[in-house]
Amino acid sequence: MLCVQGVGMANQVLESKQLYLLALGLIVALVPLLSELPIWILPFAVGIYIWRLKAIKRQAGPLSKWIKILAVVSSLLLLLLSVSRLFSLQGFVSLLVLTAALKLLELVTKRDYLLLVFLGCLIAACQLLFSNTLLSFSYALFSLLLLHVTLVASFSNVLVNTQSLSVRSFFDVHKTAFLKMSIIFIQALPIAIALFIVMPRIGSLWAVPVNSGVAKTGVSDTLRAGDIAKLNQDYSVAMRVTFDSQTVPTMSQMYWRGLSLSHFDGSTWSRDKNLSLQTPKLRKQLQNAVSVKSFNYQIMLEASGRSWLYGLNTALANNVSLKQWQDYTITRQQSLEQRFQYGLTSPVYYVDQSVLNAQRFQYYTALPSTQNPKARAFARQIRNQSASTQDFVAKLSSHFRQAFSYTLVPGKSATEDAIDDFLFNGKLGYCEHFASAGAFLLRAAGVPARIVTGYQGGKWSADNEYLLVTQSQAHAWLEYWDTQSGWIRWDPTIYVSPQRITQGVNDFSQQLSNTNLFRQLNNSSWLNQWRLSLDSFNYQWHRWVIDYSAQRQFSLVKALLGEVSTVRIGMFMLLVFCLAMLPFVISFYRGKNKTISDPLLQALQLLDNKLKKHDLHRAHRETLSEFLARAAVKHPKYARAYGEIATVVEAQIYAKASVTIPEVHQLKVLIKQLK
Amino acid sequence: MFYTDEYNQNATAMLLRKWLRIKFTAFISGKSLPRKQHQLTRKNLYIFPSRLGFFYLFFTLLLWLLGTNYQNNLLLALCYLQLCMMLVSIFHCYFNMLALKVQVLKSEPVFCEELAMISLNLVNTNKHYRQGLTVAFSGEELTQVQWASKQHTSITLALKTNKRGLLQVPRVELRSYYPLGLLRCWTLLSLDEQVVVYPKAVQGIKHSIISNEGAAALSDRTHDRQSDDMELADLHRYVQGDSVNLIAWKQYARRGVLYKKHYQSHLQPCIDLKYSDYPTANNEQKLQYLCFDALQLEQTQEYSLQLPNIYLAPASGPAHLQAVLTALANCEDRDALRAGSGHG
Repeated sequence: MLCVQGVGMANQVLESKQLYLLALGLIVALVPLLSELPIWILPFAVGIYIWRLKAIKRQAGPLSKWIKILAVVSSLLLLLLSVSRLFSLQGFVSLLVLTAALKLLELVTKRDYLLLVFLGCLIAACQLLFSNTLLSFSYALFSLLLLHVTLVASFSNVLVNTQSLSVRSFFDVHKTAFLKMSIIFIQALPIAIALFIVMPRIGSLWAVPVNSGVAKTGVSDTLRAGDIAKLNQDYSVAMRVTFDSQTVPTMSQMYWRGLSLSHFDGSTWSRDKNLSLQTPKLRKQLQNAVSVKSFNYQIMLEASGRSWLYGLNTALANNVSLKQWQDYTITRQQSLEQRFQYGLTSPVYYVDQSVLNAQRFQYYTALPSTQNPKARAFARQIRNQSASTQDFVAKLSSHFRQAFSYTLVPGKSATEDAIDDFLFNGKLGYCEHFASAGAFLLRAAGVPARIVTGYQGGKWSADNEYLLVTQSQAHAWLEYWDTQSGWIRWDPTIYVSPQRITQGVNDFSQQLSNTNLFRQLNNSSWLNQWRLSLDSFNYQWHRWVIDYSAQRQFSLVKALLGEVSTVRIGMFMLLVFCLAMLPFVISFYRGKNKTISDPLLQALQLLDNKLKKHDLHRAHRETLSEFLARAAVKHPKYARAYGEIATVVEAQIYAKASVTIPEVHQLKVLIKQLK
Repeated sequence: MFYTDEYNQNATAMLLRKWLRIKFTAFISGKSLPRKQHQLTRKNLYIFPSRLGFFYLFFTLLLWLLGTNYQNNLLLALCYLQLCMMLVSIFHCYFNMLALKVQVLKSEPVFCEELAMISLNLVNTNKHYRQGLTVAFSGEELTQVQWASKQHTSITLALKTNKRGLLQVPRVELRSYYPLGLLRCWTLLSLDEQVVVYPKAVQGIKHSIISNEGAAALSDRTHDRQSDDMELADLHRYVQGDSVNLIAWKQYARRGVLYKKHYQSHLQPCIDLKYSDYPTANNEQKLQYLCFDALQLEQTQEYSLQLPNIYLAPASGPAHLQAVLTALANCEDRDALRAGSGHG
């Protein structure tokens, strides 16, 4: 009989061949996580798997209860020792993988098998906690698909049919399951995308341990000579900017302001510890300036491990959770462990009208008492010659332009009196040297000044969609305070090397040194083009998928459906669902009609259809020969053909032997000759 | 683990399952009439998430929590994808069974306590294979269907018999978890097919006087048959269906033609199997004894059957045996049985 007894669903005992696909699926799911896991977990899991395979093939005996308990306890202890903190993301994932490995010890019934498949799905998803590139997402989808194929394979009866197990038959067996799963996957994809677009996002339900391995990169909150020059060869992305407004700033307007550093200890500039939040008055001022003419833009900042953000000159944050400080710095509550996107508005024209009280004035002009005597004297001398602060700054600018030059490798400067050394001996420097020296001179002359760090410039993407700012564009400039117009930006570097600002640092540094092969590669046009388009793709991926926030969701759904309402969203989901499922349903009903597989019956069907055209219908209980005889009376010119057909059919039907193909073919030819 | 074995399930859960099955059967019984052939349509197909499906939803929820708490859109996307795959698999599971034809074939009679074999014919009118299909009488262990060809297959289910008479074939359940095992699509079909269950053959003792008579007759017959000068009134041509025991082998050896021995009636007394002959008060037992004797006599000679409500004239051969056994199986008239036993 064609039946196999005793195939219950859950308690069915496993066969070894079912295990190969599961092992493949689990390993594929595990591979991207290996760098996050303790090194011993993979060999441990593979060891248990091999034992399980042998046990199922009856080559190895069952383990005693005590050995199993020992394995569980010792592996848990080992995990505790090898993971620094158990309550962390790494700890959680390691525990998950260990659970799956230990489950192999108990893999006896189909039920255990299915549980392992589900654990595998969860493991496959976990890699996305560590990496969110399109590549890792595609990989996670692939491993999910593979694990679901194991489900299909175990619920269809293809496995029972196969006897041998070679690699070839392994693939043959799972081909149908894979095809079926692919169909399900393809149908589910559009519905899932629609769901992704419309499903409301809610914030974190509770605090979770985050991946704390993000290194601090980019501009730091202190500045000393050489800090920024170090970043000069770092071509990794710092941030990407998309402008919503039609007007975009020119290259020389693009000062991406990060921190202001106002405390100087003789060698290092650092942040003001007593800085206050932006006063309502200052905020009002900014808002007024913004309302006249402004740049609207979105910044996607790479994970920097720091808490401050960058904005174009003096910026106003749209997001209320961001903090704005009196010195126009914008910060975030937590440091950036992953990419962060935020919207800003910057006024095109802005005049700072803040007033410094005596205490702040003193703070912004304070210098360590003894160092750099020559520079102090020089500053006082120039100050005495100039009529106003503006005049003084102009004189300093021309001094920089005349005597100084810009270099990427300024060489070692003296540790004592570094500014004296730079101003009167070296006269070679990078932006931080100019900014630092400029601020020192200003302060020495009694003008309040502070260093500002951030990025300068950017590179437009291939499609001009967004501006790409790399770490190599890190820059330092300064701001001085004037009684009439408040804080004014002054970038001494621009006087030394105007191209640095107008061309952007990458092009400029290429001119400075053509010896570095890497830099040549970096700037070769096709590679650059390719890099930019890849980056563009990556950027859109991040913008639309990874940083798809509630705000963006609202605007997209509104643009898509006209309005954001439950009814519209419901209709939209229904539409997508129907469109996804329609081909499948149609193919089912179409497939149903093509039921005749017997070639003889096919031929007879053809004959019936032909005769129907002549208004001849076969009566109930009428044999074919009778019917054909009737047809011959009606159409005497086909009488012979009808006779032949009747002979062939009867020979076929009553021969009782299986229908021979050539004769059926002959029959079909005969039928086709009929008009 | 949170995964419990069926064996470890507590009594409440078992009771609940049983109660649900009873309720469900009651719900269905109002909807389907017994038929020889069923086609699976939306009216008799049911679909619901399996236990595995609920686990899948649980894991998907876990993924959603992970994605929500880490504000990770990619995890949320995976979670939605899993949800949608389950949604889509509803269709696949349902269409895997839709429009399947189930026919029940004529089943052979069996003796009580033997297994009745019920053959079902499954006809697929679709171009795709029907995968992962299992069949069982409702509540029994499942049998996996293997397709002989894409178009049809037949499957035989064993049915326990414990009572003679006409056995109505119970509802048959077709079930499939294909493709992902997350959903269970099933149907309960009532089949218009009865199995004739003969009484179990049990050797019994007749009333003493009659049994003596019978024994004498038997011994007479045996003696006669063994003697060489057996009187044959005439020889008839053997026709297929006659008892093999009546073949005149001697004549066959001589002439090469099969003849049937036709005994003179006074030499060959026909044995009457009478319901009232057996000294037991239990009616079922009487039928079992009758059954045994009928099977014994079929080997050797003609016999008639006298039941309270039926009389079968003496004859022999498979057709007669079948008629006798069927009469025994269908001897249902309780009043007559009681009257018969009272008389005996």
